[in-house]
Amino acid sequence: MSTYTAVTVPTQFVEANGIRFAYRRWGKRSGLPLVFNQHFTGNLDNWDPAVLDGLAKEREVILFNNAGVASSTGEVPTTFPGMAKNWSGPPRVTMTREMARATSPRRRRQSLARPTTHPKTCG
Amino acid sequence: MWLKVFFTDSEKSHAAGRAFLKRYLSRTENRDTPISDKVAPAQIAAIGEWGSHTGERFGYLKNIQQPTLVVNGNHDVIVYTVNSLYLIQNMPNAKLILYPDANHGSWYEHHEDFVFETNRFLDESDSIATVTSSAAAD
Repeated sequence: MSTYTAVTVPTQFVEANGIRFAYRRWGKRSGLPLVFNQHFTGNLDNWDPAVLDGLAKEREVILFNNAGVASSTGEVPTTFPGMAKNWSGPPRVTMTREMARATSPRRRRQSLARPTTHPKTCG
Repeated sequence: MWLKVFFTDSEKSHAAGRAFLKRYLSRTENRDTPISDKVAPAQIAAIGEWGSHTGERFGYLKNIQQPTLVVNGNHDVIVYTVNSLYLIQNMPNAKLILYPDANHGSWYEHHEDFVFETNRFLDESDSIATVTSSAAAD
């Protein structure tokens, strides 16, 4: 289990389709991670640490900024499908990949074959 | 401004709001960068497009099969509380929690109960997801 909390977890970055996405990830490595989609005009700091750490006790949580929001580069999507598309490709694979490396070899093969196809979402 | 939209006018809710603001500011190092002035107009456009749905009222909600937990305050002034009822009446697999004396920030105000209920909901959903994944792998 990672020792980070909502307040201490560092921001990481992943490049995809010319966009650099900012994200934070921590919590108990167990099952599917929980992905947070931020509210109107919010950034990575706009979640309640009490809520995040309460949920991170049971499963990994992933916060990310969509394109053009705060520390992510690119153009802000003007449709919800556009926002979903930004998450659904390489960023999802990369943001969830390290979890696969930390699990057992058998699990690893499964995870890499189907990298967290249906992460839970919150927001 | 935040206290006005996330919390109600009651003393108890305001106290919860001040506690939330303290938590919100508790990260002092490596905070995220502020948003640019391009974010709000683009997101307002997205919300407008989403709201201009044609066809049967609420029809698209009937196709959302995923287990869904809808959480709201009983006095939400930003997205009126009644909308949460519309959601669960039209989504086939959604359930609703409404918190008392709560506005748009109900899950900040009632964070302990929210975490408890959400972890339980996700535990149930994880089992469902695992069954589905196993079948797909076969």
